[in-house]
Amino acid sequence: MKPLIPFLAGALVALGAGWAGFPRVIDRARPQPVDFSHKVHADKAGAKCDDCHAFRDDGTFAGAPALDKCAGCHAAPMGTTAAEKAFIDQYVTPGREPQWRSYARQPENVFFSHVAHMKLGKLQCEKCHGNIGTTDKLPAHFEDPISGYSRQTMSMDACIACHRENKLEHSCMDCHK
Amino acid sequence: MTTRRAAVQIIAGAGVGALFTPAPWRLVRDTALWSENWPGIPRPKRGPISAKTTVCTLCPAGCAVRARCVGDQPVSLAGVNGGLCPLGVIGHHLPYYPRRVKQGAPEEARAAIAKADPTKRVAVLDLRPGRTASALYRKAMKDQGGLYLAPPQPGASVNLAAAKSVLSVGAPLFEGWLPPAEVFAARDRFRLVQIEREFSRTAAMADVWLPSGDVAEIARKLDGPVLVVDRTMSPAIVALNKEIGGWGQTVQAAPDFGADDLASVADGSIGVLYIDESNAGEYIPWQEIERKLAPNAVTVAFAWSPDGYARHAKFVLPTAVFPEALDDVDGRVTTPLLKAPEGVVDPVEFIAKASLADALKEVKPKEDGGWRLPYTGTLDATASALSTKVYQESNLLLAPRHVAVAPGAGLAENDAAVLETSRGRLPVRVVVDAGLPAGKVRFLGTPEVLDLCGSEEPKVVRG
Repeated sequence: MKPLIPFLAGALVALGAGWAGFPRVIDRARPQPVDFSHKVHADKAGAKCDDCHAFRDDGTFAGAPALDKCAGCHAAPMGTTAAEKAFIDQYVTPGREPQWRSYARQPENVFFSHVAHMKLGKLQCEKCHGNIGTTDKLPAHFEDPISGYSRQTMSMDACIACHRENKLEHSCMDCHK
Repeated sequence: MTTRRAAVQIIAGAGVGALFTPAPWRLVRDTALWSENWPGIPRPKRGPISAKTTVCTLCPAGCAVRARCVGDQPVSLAGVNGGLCPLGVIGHHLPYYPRRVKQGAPEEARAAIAKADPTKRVAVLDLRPGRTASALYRKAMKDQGGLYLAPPQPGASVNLAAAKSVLSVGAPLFEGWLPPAEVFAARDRFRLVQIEREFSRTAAMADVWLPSGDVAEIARKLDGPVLVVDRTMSPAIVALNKEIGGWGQTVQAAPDFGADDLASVADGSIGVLYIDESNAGEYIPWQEIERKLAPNAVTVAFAWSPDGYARHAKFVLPTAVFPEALDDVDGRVTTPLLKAPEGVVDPVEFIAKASLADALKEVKPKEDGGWRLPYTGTLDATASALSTKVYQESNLLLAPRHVAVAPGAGLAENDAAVLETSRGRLPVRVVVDAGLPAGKVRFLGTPEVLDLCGSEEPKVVRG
């Protein structure tokens, strides 16, 4: 057993570094530009997901709303919180678009149609995006410094699992156009 | 004290331990994702999507195209009111072809042309006749006593939508001979009988495949209207269509592009040859052109790809390419989706000293009666640039510099081989295709293969 001790020690160090240290290094938490509360908007303004995350006329998904949409209500501060004041001062007044960090951005070689999944597949937003619509604070955005994508980005395995579950296995070209 | 043996054991243990953590697997995935985005790879912009429409000029069908754009950048193309062939769908990648011709020397070309032998003739070789640019070339050459040349065109136009039965004598109907989107849209409305020795993809999708047969006898037995086709719409096939009553219904005369006959041009008589390869369709083997050139002839190729006549021309001038180029096809004018890069030369302005943009203002849209001029060759020149990666990865179509041979030819899959004729040799890779009859060879008809083969049957020898 004694001769194995250095080997086991090396393995233990690698396991510790790989499971505990590596994720901290590779997943950098980046804050969102604005302290945004989905909960406040849903509860107080009665907003639904597609009020802000709308489909365009051609059926494509618009993603995060542009500043114009926010400024429709927030032309002047709506409340006295520091976050509200910062948003007005830094973005609305100078007309500067917030650079939202997307949790779900897919690689360039992936084509994902929201309209096909929501209108044809009748999926709810929560199926893929979880309960983010009811949270009071935006989760940290973990960006992978090598790939440039978010840790939260849905993987191909998840797509395949759901399609398989629903007996909707199609060709590679459906997503990789 | 740590011995050298212990250090090695620690490293080995760390290596084994690391394999049971997410680190190496995550790094492999991340590196793959990173490699998609490294510098030099064009990445579509992100932002609000807008739609633009244009006309695809990659083949004479001129399909209407709807482009999804982010700002001024097209990020995907789709057909309007129907499909778009695989080439058209990825047409917006064409400006980013890594080997694209980006630089030329137009002033030096002009100087060389000015010094060319005035006793010799000027000629334009137009690889896509029938456009407004073609009319300007023809007029310019007529004014100068020059020649307007074009590759041989098929013997007739066909109207697939009007046919109830199609008898194809080796025509690659489903392989780019007619616009794929139109062929598949009409597929349920006609019965296809394919007579071809090779079990080709078209043969595989035909209702009936016959390795051989009496064409006239079979044509007379089919339900009308019948369309009989072969690859070039040869005079015998056109005559058979007339005999069975298809003339004017499923077959009509091909448009006359007013080109001079290259074969009747005296050898060594051309002093200046302009080649408009900016929107190439068919090609002519270079040997057939070369013998018509005077010893010190000035050859100017207007090209975006270096793979065609640019290999032979003295001057190669870069041109805009679809979807940057302003052009027209069958009475429909394109809307450029991208700005052409600095330094591109407008062949019409250079050769005909005219403005294509002004001439296109006079173009009147034609009514689309379903008549199509088949491709007697292929779109291989464009295909090789546009879809090489798709070809290679799909393994469904031959990639450039690949040959398909029948099993039992003494060659194995992916063997290095040489395509050989009396004109030269070309290194190739082997694909074994069980659909090919023994002794038959199939290859992608790129210009370099065309130059090598001409009318001669090549052989494949071990490399």
